[in-house]
Amino acid sequence: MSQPPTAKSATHGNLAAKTPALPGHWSFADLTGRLTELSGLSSTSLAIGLVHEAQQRSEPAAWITCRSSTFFPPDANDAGVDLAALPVIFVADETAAARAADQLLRSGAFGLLVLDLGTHQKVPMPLQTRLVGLAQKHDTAVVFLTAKLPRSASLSSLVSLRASSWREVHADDRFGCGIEVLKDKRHGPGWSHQEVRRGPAGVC
Amino acid sequence: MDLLACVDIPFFPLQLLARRRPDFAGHPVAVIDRDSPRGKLLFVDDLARQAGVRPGLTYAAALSITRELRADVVAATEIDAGIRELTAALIGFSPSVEPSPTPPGVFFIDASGLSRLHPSQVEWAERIRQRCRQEQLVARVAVGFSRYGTFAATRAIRDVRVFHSVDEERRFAREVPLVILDVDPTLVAALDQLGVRRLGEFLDLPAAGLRDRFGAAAYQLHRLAAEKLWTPLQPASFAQPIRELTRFDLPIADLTSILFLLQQQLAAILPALAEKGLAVATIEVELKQERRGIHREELRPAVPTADHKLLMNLVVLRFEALRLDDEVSELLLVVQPVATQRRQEGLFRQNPRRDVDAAGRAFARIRAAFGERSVFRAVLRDAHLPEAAFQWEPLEQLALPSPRDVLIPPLIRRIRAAPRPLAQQQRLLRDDGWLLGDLEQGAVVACDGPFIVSGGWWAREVHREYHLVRTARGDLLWVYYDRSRRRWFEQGRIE
Repeated sequence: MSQPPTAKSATHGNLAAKTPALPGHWSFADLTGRLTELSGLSSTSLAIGLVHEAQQRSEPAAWITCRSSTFFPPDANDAGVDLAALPVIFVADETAAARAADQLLRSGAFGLLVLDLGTHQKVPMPLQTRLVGLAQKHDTAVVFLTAKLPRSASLSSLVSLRASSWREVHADDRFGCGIEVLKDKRHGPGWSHQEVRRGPAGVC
Repeated sequence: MDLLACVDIPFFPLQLLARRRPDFAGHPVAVIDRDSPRGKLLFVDDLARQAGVRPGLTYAAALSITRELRADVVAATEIDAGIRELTAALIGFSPSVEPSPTPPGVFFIDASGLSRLHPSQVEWAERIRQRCRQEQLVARVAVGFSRYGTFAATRAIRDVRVFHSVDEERRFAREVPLVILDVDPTLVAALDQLGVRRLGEFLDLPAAGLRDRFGAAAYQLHRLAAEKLWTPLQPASFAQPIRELTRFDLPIADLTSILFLLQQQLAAILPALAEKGLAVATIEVELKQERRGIHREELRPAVPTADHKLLMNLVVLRFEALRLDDEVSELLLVVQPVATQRRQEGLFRQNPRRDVDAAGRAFARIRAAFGERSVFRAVLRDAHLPEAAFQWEPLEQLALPSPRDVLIPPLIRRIRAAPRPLAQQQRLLRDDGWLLGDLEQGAVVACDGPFIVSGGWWAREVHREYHLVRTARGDLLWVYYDRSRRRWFEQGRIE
């Protein structure tokens, strides 16, 4: 579970999904209706965790990417994600990604959209404005994955939650990963979240 | 007994490809399952066979046999469109035409009661072949009395065969080799070991014994070939495409005018379709440009619909992405209607909060805006190499998710679309000073491995030594040393 700014505690990834959502909690439920930006060393793992959590709540999720790499589907399957129910949209750039997200949001059919942008971060403001409005209307979580340092600015002022993820080695085949929240318009910055992960199959 | 004709377009996807790509003429041609060096060859033409290329090879392996090979993917939508076109063409020869669901390119036509129109069945069958030739397709036609009998006959003939009695058809079909009948190759090989090589020898086997020894599929095939699973012809419900041709007095170069015209044309067509219980399956728009010739766009809604707003939305999304830099003198709109089908509601798990049908419509809009190959889902495959362990398949409709519980989830790797060659490094990996990326990433500070992936000795040996390397910045990179290429590559990273 995530804690108020003064404390940290470890959690096992999926068990966190079963606890009631609290203010300042890194969970799918707390991200709905707003734009979130996540960067750092474990952003893809945490985003897939959100996809899994959304699916557990029967909320369809979609992944939109304009990058030359994607999440490795066998690992997502190992993480419990239903790949058959996860549409992956391939587009050329961040503007196209935002337009595709616009179409998916308008349908009202999705609870979570992940826009995997990497270094492609010039999303036009009018598009972001539309995404915010639609996310609020349909109670959808929109998560941007970006490749940037914590000190870099957010995509825009419309991003409601900005978090930087980290990762550390704990022991054989165990890693700690989590986020430090740099901006949160709902609960205020400074809180964090931490969970334990294992190394991917066949690697460690 | 009623007369029945089987029209077989052999290697239908291959013939569609040859029709679409006339520039492939004169070269060995193959249909692949995906546009990738690891794509598997599904069909090959005679030139490719003569060069030693066989179905089942990878595209890369086939190219190493002959550099002249030309290959491409034939999407399911293209096959469906080809079947619809040909059904429309064959309806001119009989009101009852049934496209066979598998294999594609096989059609059954009711040939009974046509003697007053076509005194000679041979001539009728030749006309069918000729009509297929007009569609640039080569067909074989057998006229007889049973589905499987006529189907088997088309596989053994080169052009036309008419059977005058049930016995004649049966005698001919019994001599057809199993290997040309689209039977599972494993079953064919197993039967071959028993000396069973022809359809007649297969039919002489006891059916119950087949099920025990070779499984349910073999038993089903036996019943099908013995006409124990007879069903009446199920003619396709077909409506002629609607074509609206507009010739402009003065050529126009304004997309807005074209969109406005399309809007009016669709508004005029759709109400009539809806009254007949029809909906739009596809829309084709052809622009005849002054200098650049014909420009064609095809659009497909998620499900057939007569909703004007939805269809115009797709048209606008597609045309928004176009740049019209030449004047248009003619506009052709072709609307392909199909009978609407009522879906049974309420039996399956639903999420009342989310409308999955709306997601399908959103996918159609995304395909209209960004191209047919933009919406996918991942499908896992049983393979050792990471890039072969999954495949992207086009996704049409959204399914409600069924995730699994996992106690401790794994870190997720990112995989590159193509492995990135790295700066050369010593074969024995050193974990200091090796710069894999930029200075910001830093040098390698630690390394785990090797994790060996080796195999493929029967085709092209693969030997990769995977390592997980950590850089000074904390990145965890997924790299491997390819022994045959003597080079390091970045497969991806853990993130």
